[in-house]
Amino acid sequence: MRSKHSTLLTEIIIALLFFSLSSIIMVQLFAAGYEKSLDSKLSSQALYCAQDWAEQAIAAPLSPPDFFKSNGWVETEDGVLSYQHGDTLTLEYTFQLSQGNGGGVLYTGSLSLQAPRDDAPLLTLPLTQYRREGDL
Amino acid sequence: MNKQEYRIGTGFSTLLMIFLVLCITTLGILSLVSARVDMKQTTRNLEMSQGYYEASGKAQELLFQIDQTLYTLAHSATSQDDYLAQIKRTLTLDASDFFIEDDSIFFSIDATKERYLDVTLTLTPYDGKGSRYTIAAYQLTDHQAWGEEETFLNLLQEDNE
Repeated sequence: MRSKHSTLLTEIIIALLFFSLSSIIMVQLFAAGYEKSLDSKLSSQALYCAQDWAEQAIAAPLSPPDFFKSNGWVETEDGVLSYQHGDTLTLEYTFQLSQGNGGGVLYTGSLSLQAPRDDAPLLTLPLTQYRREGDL
Repeated sequence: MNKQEYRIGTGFSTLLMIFLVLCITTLGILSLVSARVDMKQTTRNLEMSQGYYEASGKAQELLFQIDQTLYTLAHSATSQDDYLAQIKRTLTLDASDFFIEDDSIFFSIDATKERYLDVTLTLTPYDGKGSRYTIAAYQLTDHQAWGEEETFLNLLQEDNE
């Protein structure tokens, strides 16, 4: 009888040990999935945010830099326009002008989104617009 | 009256543990696979959007180039026919497809993933003033044939030869 109890106890201890080891691995698996899911969500959010601004700038009757400035974007010392979207994302619009001989202006630039925890931008969306003389 | 006793037999805890580990493993793998598929879809969406905006940027640069050429030619041409003839002779664009037909200029830019940004411009009459063209079309088209990625059962004998 004593031997039977001892076997049962040993089995339960081994089962618990194995279960805890498996749990550690499984928790890591769940954490990896969750982190991937968060990254995916952040990337989607960044894309929608950048697209939203880009499409508004394209549709606006102003030049892209003027449109951004009139919508709360701040110009930094190096000429880059910056905007804080919520607590997580920072948008930046870098551009350069090419004046045409017919009065039009080509705004060559890109919108980039930066998350606080990353060094590299989440995404960079080219935003180049040509405005003819009569468009502005 | 006999009181029935329930006791945990040897092997029950092992079976329960195996069952639980299997359940958690399955759920964990499903969660990871789902997250990976989601990430793949997001990355593809991102690449397609970036492809479109790159193509659109290139199209805008070409519009700038066309407008510069038209401005120069409008001031040097002597008549509408001369103007159109000079455009056909001098205008060259770095695009996937480009041609001039009557008073229309067409060009196409690769927007990745078998998609192209097709732009059609209608030239306004030559007078050296005002807008030199109007954008008649600016659309993203899919040049991939329908169902090209799918595989079909080759049921017809002629195709096997």
